[in-house]
Amino acid sequence: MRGEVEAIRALGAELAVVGNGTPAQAKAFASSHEVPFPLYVDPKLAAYQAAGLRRGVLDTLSPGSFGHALRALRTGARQGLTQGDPWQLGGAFVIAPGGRVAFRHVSRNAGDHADAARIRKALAKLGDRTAGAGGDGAERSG
Amino acid sequence: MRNASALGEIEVLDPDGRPHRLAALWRRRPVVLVFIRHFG
Repeated sequence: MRGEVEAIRALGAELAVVGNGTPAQAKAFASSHEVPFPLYVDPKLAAYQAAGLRRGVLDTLSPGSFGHALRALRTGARQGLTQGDPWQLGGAFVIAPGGRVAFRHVSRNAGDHADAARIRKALAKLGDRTAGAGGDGAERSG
Repeated sequence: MRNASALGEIEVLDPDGRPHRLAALWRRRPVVLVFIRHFG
């Protein structure tokens, strides 16, 4: 995971993670593990819904323990996003200043994860577009 | 979701319970926003 965070930063962006659960759970999680990115919780799932994450994703969200995510993150730290990432992602988005969604991936099932290489590609493209080309260049995945 | 303006209005909580508008995350630079599927 750390490698991915560095790659994202090298492209001028930041990674932020939103989970379900309570701030206290997030805090326990963050303090027991070195989490090199901002971590937020969305207890009412308002952000999940606004992001258009499919019903199946919302259905499988389980409020409560951070335990599995904790284990997943620990594994993820070894494996990185590209290799069978165990984070159980609900979705991943690249959002540019102004709110344009340059990449989106909504997981179809628990094993369906965004491809880190495509995320990096979308970020690189954003960098190329800073000159101000118009249009919707959103790359779609999933 | 092609534009994140509605999403940006939503507040999420940091580990200290402080609210943050999501739009602040992409105000100055692009963000990779990842939603974790489940914690349980």
